[in-house]
Amino acid sequence: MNALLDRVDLNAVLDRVDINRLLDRVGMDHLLGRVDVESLAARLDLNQLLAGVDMNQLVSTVDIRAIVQRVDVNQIVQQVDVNQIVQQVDVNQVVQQVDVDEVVRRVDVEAVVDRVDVNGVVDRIDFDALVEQTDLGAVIAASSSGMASDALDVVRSQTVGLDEFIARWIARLRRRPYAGPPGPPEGAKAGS
Amino acid sequence: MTARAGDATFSGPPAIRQSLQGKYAGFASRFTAFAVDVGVSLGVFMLALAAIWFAARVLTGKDIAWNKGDIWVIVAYAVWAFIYFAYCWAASGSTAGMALFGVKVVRDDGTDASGRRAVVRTLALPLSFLFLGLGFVGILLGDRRRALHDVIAGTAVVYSWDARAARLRFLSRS
Repeated sequence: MNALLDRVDLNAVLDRVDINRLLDRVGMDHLLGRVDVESLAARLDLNQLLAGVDMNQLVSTVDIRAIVQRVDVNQIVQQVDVNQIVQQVDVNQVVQQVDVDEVVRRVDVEAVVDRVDVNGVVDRIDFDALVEQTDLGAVIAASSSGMASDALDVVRSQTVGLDEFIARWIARLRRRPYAGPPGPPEGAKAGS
Repeated sequence: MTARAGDATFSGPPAIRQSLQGKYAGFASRFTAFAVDVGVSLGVFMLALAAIWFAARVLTGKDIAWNKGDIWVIVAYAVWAFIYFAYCWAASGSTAGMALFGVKVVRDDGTDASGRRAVVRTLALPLSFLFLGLGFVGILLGDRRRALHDVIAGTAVVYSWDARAARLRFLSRS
């Protein structure tokens, strides 16, 4: 038998076989019914299989736009419970991560101000009530007392400077070190 | 204008950069304060004399001739000066001139001067002028900057002005 098979030219035989007619005659359902698919799947090494797949090339062949166009985003969003998501967000932590200075720096203040109706805001101010509640006399008095206080400070500091000048020269004449104006001994109550 | 002058001053004397409150006051502050007090007391006294002259002229139709050498004028001024200094030192420790220059009279231990010490100090003040003002030398040479009348009354003169606070106040406004 083996010698006979050795003499058969299998390639020539296969060339003469009409594969399509042969498959038509095969009962595929019967054949697949005899295949133990689970056993076959268990023997597959998916990791090795996936390692051999060029994912980039595979993805590049996918028409993402077509897929996205077929997705009903509104329907998905309607199913999302936004309140529940928001409740899980730690707003304080999010705010702490925000660089407010950077945000403010990016704000076009002039554009914001341009959109403010200043005349409208001014029209809404009750100036009579504002003046009644403002003690303008006190404001003027505070401003005047500030100037008077400044002048007094200058006069006093000039005189203290003269005190120090005299004291330093006296100390120099007496060949003694001078370390500023002397004060009462420790524990004595300073004049207030 | 004030701020510019203050800027030059505050950046000058090193003592201005510390609080002088409670430190013994120097000669210049005390002398200028006293000069102002003499001016104020004399000014008020002259106004009083003018008021009396005006009242006498209105009421009697006669002029009163005030003479500087008149003993009554001298005595009246001495009494007025005594009241002025003694009352101010007893009430607040400062006369008008001392308040202007930020100094005040305290006891030698730093506490507020009492009425009795104020009176003694006022009475002893003329003694410091004796012998060409020898009683004031203690302000220049003494460790506690006390004049003769301070020693007699058991008082001292200290700065009541907080120079450091004034400097900070100035910097906050500039």
